[in-house]
Amino acid sequence: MFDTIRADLRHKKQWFLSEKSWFIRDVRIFLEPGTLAVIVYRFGRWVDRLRVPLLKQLLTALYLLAKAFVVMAFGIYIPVRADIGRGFTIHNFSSIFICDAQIGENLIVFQNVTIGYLRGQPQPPQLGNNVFLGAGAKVLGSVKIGDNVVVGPNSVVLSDVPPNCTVMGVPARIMARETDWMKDKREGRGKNY
Amino acid sequence: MARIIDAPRAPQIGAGLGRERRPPSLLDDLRADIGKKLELHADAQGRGSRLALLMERGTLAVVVYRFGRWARALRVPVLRAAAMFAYYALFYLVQMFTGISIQAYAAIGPGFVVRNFSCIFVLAESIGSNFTVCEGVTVGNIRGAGRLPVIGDNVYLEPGCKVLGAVTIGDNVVVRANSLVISDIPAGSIAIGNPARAHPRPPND
Repeated sequence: MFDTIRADLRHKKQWFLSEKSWFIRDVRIFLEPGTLAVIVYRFGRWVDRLRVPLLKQLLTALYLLAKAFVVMAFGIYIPVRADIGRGFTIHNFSSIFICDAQIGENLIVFQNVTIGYLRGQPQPPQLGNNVFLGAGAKVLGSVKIGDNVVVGPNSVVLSDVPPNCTVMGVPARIMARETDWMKDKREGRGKNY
Repeated sequence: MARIIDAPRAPQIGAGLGRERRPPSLLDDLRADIGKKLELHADAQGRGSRLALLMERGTLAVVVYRFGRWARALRVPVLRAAAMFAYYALFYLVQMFTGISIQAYAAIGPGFVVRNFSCIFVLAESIGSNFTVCEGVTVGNIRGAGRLPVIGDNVYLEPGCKVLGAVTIGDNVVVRANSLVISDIPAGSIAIGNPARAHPRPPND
């Protein structure tokens, strides 16, 4: 659990807070609603796999309380069934709803994002590694999104997206075939964001 | 359509915007904000319903934002630190209870109204007077843009729209619901679509 949380925090710092002061990087990051939600989700995952009888029930109660707090106060809903890889980052809060999807590493989520089911499509979405969902993006139905994909703000993804693409619009269409800036940023070469 | 966005009018878009605002005056601005809110809800008659408007989450967020602007501009260091601490605590509580996050960095003119609540993020370089936001609106930063949005007077952002990056929005603009504004919008137009295009605003609108 702590390993994964550390990886999540590292990714958040690297992506959003690389030029901020130490106070923001190491202290205020724990006050951010997105970070709290990620920590609660990781805790829930850990409790879910726990095999010690009494402790498990106690910690589950604690987790449910924490989850209720996160849902009520920040409007971020991530169930334990969601399988999200390391480096999961939530920037900002409110109206974030993620269903039990298969999601790779280094997912970045902004406010108002939904990853969910669509009527008549029983499978949840599958997301690859290094997916970036801009503010207000919706990924709905049994779609597959490849690695290194950027989904623009306010877009609605209803069909499969191949890897290394930027998609935008309602419904989302491919705008560009390369997302090298994400790799540059992750490796510290690009400073923009 | 492209002609409207392109060359001839483009230099005028930012004319007079981004100017240095006068130092914030807490009570004057607040009076203007609340007056504007009552004006928008002109059907709310009677003391009870007018009071209910003042207890709304949007009003609460505006009050806290104005307090933050005032606290930022304080001159005495000790007083400023205390006020900023109080402001951050209030800001966090407002974030939690309303989902409205209006950062004190953004210079917003008088007559600022927040309608409804949840998922409202406002961070801009400067915003003119009579600015209205609804739920689900984001005004903010985007990758590599370098600067935050600059918005003119009498701008109305409808629910769910996003204004991102180094854009300039002129005066008297309406951004329609769920639009995405990532390019400049000239004055007196309606922006609609994802990404948004500017249409001239009908005179009786």
